[in-house]
Amino acid sequence: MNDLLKRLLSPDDDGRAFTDAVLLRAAGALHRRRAAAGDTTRGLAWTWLEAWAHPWLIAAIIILALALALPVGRGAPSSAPATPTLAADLMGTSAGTSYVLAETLGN
Amino acid sequence: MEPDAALAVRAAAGDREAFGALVERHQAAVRRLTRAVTGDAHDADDAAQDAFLSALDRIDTYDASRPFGPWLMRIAANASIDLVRRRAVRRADALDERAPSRGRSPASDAEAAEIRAKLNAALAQLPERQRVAVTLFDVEGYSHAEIAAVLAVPEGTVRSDVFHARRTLRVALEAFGPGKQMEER
Repeated sequence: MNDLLKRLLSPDDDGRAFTDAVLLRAAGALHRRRAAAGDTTRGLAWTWLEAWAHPWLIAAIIILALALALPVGRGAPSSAPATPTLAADLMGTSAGTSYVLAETLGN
Repeated sequence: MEPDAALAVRAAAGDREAFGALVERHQAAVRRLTRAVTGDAHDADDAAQDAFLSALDRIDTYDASRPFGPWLMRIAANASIDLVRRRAVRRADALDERAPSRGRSPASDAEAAEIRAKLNAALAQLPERQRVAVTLFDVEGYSHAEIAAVLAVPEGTVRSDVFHARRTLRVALEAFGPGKQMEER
């Protein structure tokens, strides 16, 4: 009778149409799951970036800023009076003026 | 053949092929169970489809260290019982007649049809839980413990359900002689 019961309950088809029907109805859910899996991957990447790269990025920016600031500080005379600088500017200006004058006169 | 657990993991990530393989692999057993509960081929397929979709919805809750079949059967049993309760009016003689087998005499076809009708009517008399229990036990070969897990009832309850269901079915088929008696397990 077990066989009879099995025969009574077994579907008449091979199940392909049933499987196709289920897959058709599940298309939306499967698509959402694929999208969610993609979001999760992106989320994980961002979390990883936040956890590891972000502090290092800040540290790198600070170090770079210091590295750029230090040569300027070394190159500039720390105790030089303001006058020579002004004088140099004036000289530069006058040299420029002389050059312009020479060019004008020359022409 | 890829294990169910691996397919379930892929299906959880939205892999259509993996989910399709799971459906193809388990559709026959699920449809037999839903047919036993609903007593109607079309309702059974509706319930079976609902069961697979419900399984996909909650596939994240599936414990891959455990067998997939009983987990799915629990969902299928609930889906078919829900459908039966939603559609309160049932037909006692719902099963459609199969195409007559080739090489059989009309008399034996008629007897087979009568047996099926009796068996179907007897199944319809059973409470839903007994239908699930006897189908899983006698058709799908589940143990009492596995059925208890599927139905979330004590194992003793399952033994009792199977016993009473088989007795009802046996009585229904007594008219067809000792050769049709249910095999003991």
